[in-house]
Amino acid sequence: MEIKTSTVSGLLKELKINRETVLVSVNNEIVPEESALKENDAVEILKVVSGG
Amino acid sequence: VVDVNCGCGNKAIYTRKYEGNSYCASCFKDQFEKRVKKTIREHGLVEKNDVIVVGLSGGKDSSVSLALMKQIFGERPDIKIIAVSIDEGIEHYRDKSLEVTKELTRKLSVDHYIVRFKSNLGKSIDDIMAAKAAGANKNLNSCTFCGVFRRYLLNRAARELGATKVCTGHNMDDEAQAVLINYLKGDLKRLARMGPNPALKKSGKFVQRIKPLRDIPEKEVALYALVSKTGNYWGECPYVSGIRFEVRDFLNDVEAKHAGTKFSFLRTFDAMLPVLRASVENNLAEITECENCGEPCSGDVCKVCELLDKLDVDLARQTALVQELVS
Repeated sequence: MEIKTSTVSGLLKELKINRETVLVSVNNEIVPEESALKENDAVEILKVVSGG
Repeated sequence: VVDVNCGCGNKAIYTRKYEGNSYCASCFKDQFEKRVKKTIREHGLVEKNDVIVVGLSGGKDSSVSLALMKQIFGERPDIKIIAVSIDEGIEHYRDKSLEVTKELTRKLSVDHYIVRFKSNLGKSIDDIMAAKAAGANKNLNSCTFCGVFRRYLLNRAARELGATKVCTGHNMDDEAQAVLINYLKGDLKRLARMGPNPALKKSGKFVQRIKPLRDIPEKEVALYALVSKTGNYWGECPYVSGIRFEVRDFLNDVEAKHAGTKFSFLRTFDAMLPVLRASVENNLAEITECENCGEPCSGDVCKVCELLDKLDVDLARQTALVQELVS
């Protein structure tokens, strides 16, 4: 998908996802939210809050 | 923006916003284990000769909690660790997570029992929800039934297995949510019973609860589960509803804007706890025994029997619990 941002935290903001509720991996490696994103990076967002 | 590094020089996987430090997988794992050990030590959660029943749902929190208890205490000859899973009877959710629990307890070589709603209470959560959809108990949500029944069965199972402690996977987020919910409901008595060292109940029928992950945020428990390859289930219960989830979202919204809020909220509560306990102590109802089932309660009839009555089930004075030994 087309995104405007260059960092993981920017991406989460753009998608309106609270960073407290997810872990993000880029190209199969978990990364801190301040990490940079490049073109063609494969980003996976894992929801970590559970409901019981 | 460049790659973020851990203090050791390796590539970081996580930055703890509220302290500003970044960690690689190995340093995060070490530090996580040290923090859990510190919680256990500081609050004296585990004592010599303990028989510890770990409530295991298969989710990240209980799985990490079991794996760590085994890692920390598995070599101690005087301490026994047993896993107990409660099967509420939620198709496509609990059946899947139970498979994951079986794999985990086999891997860890931990004795494992499953206690089912259906065989002990006569009804599963799916049964209760189907009846609700047909018009019964419209004003009660599934979490009310589930929470009360689950706590009851876990406590009874632990007692019948001779446990001295019940260990749960509650993390910092769970605790902060529970504190805030009790504030919002104005439930001072329940608040007074919370905290890292739960006030000892006066009934010998209650097995003391311990929460070794209480000082760890939910997100970090999830990260640890991934980094340590604990092996857990990531699915979410299809029936989740109620105030807890509104409170969860609220706390996470504040935390995202003001890092450290959950931590300071819980610490402030812990600091106020002695004063709160002293002020409500004399008002706490005497613990008696339920006149129907004989379990401890603060009125004439316990909450379990009260809810079962709504479902037309009579618990009466049961014989031993039906527990299935898995491994």
